[in-house]
Amino acid sequence: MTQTRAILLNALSLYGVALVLAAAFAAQFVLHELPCPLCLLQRILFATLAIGPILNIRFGPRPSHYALSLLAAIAGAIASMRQVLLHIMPGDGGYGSALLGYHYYTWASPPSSRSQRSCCSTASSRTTAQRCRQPVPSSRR
Amino acid sequence: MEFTLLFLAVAIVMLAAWRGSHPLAFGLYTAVMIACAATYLHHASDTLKLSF
Repeated sequence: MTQTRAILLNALSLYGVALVLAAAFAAQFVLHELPCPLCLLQRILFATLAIGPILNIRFGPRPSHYALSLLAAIAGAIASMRQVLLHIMPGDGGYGSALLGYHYYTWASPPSSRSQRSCCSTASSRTTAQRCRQPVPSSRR
Repeated sequence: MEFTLLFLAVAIVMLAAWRGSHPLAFGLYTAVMIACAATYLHHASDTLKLSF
């Protein structure tokens, strides 16, 4: 990859981060969705994610700059997974409104959204299985 | 209040990354990440309010 293309991709990633933060603030100020502390922390870590691309554009692409972004991404994923796990109990409505069926903190962590989906489908299939396959008492066998 | 400070700190790191030197940006980034981890750990011990 040429340096020009790498800088272009870094600039595009800055637009992506700005878009995510704009959507979060729009949800807060337009839809009146008040953020919880973990939501705010995820926003801050999204903003921290932008520091790597800024350094890449300013000083040229270096592995250490990408490491900064990776560290911020891991910290953000930890915060969002924590919030997903707070609302993973069956019957929990989650925090705030959902976007395309997923809450914002689930969207913030794609790996956790996949694992949550698989966990939820496993949990729901388990309850269905428990309902459908009740063990027959030994006296009826 | 602490989140406002964190947002301001991130904005300062961005400015330092754009206008300042390399070590300054890295140092401020480290300080912000430590502050974020401390804020996370502080709120991780909050009482869990189940919403159902």
